[in-house]
Amino acid sequence: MTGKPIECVALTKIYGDLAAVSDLSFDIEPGTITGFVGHNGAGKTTTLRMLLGLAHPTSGEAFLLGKPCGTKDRSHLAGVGYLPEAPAFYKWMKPWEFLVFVGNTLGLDYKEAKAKALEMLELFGLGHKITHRIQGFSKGERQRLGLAQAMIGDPELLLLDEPTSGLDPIGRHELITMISNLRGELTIFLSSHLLVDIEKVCDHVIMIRKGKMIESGPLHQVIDRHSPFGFTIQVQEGQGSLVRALEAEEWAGEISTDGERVRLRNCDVEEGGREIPRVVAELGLSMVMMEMTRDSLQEVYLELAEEKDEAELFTSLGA
Amino acid sequence: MKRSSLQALVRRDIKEEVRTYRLWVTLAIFLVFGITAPLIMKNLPKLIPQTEMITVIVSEPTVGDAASQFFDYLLQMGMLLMILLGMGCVAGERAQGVLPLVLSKPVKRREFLESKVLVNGGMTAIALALGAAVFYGYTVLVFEYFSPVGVLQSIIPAALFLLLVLAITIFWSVLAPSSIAAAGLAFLSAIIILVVPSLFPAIKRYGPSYLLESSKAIAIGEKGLADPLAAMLVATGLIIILLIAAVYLFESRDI
Repeated sequence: MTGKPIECVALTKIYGDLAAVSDLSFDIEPGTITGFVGHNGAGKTTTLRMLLGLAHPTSGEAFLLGKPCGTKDRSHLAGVGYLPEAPAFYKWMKPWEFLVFVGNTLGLDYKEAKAKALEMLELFGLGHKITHRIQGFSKGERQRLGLAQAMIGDPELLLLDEPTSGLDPIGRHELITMISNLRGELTIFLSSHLLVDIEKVCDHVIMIRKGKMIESGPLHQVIDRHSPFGFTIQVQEGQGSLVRALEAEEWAGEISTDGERVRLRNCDVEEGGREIPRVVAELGLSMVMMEMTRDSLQEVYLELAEEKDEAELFTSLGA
Repeated sequence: MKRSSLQALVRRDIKEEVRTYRLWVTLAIFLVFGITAPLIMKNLPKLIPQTEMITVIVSEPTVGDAASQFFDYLLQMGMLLMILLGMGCVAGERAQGVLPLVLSKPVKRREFLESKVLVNGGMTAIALALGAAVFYGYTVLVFEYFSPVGVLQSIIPAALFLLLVLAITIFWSVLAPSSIAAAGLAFLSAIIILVVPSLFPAIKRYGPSYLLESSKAIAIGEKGLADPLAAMLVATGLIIILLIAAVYLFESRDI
């Protein structure tokens, strides 16, 4: 492979008055699983479509496996597997026939493509559906077939667009496990608004909002930057008095309650570790649990998005 | 042997024509044209009811009448069939949602259209040749022997007419948001290019409708293949322009 698996330089796509993607620049490293995070309509699918040459950028450039996107030379796409959000297939085909067709478009001859198709169907748990028509497949089965077609050419790069969207909890778990199992074998770029899934499987993250990047980097660094450790405490009774006592402490940071638990964010971790047991003991309360916790990726994203909203509002008011 | 994307697409399109029965239906329709045209014309005098009040005088049907009927079928039903075949080529696959997945592979959009034209055009040409062969056989059977050379030659302008309608439909299939819209626009465009030249005697010989008009005469040996040459050149030119425009528009559009 020459160049980075994905590279975007000031990529922009404008539909009428709407900037679906605006000045987006990022690249990803080989071998990583990168989560492409944003709410519905943030520009994730548009970005993927531009990378694959399905949509033309208004300005800017994008490169896949070092080759410019959207040109007539599409040979590099043999090294890219793509699973669209709602994969659709030729309903009159059987799954192995569809995989053979995909294999043929990637340059495999019939024999190679058929052997690979059967291997993929087994790998993705569709071995028992070989003789069935795709027409009767459930959403989960279509998603797995979508993953199988994306993988049939042994790609260097896998682009997944909302792969777990619309699946039931078991289907979601199975698919996330399948994606996790591919770790280390290839580079994966996973677009999703389901941040729990991203957190489970990704090692890098790129967050976009209204087509603009708001944060990127290794997942743990992004969380470290925006979510320092805090504490979650649960006492048997007297949660109210604990909150009042903590509010008087300077080191306690932001205090919130979550059901029976009290949560401290942005606090002095060292002092908190020493002082919390003392405060609880002084109040004569019985501690059920105390643990160091931090915001989830979802909370980090929401906070960043909120900051951006406020900044935009401030700018527009100032203007 | 490594396969090219075009081979893969052609193989897939042929399989689709067979599996969805489109191939068999197309062949059957052209066979019906070939069989019924001479039969209906031969039996026309018997089919028209004669009453005591009104006597309808029907002249003895000829080979020319049978040919006329066969090419009228191509003008009316053949045109509709081409629209039905072509309307979903791009619009249908886009509506189904399969197009982005196929075009995310190392498949050129030009190849995608080439495959549609090759398979649908090839199927039409085979069906037309079969229909013409059956037409000739039945006409000889129920009328009298005449040379097959004319019928063979008449296939060329007739095929060009059908391919022109197919090219118009594929062009609209690239642009239209749905198969139905593509069919409607193709029908309208085909009517315009059929009717407009017929209204002006100076350009009538260049219009697509002249292809079928001339085919009737060629089939029974009244005219040679040189007669519709101008119309054939115009039709070929239009087919090439429409397909190039379709490729250009397909490549420049977002999927």
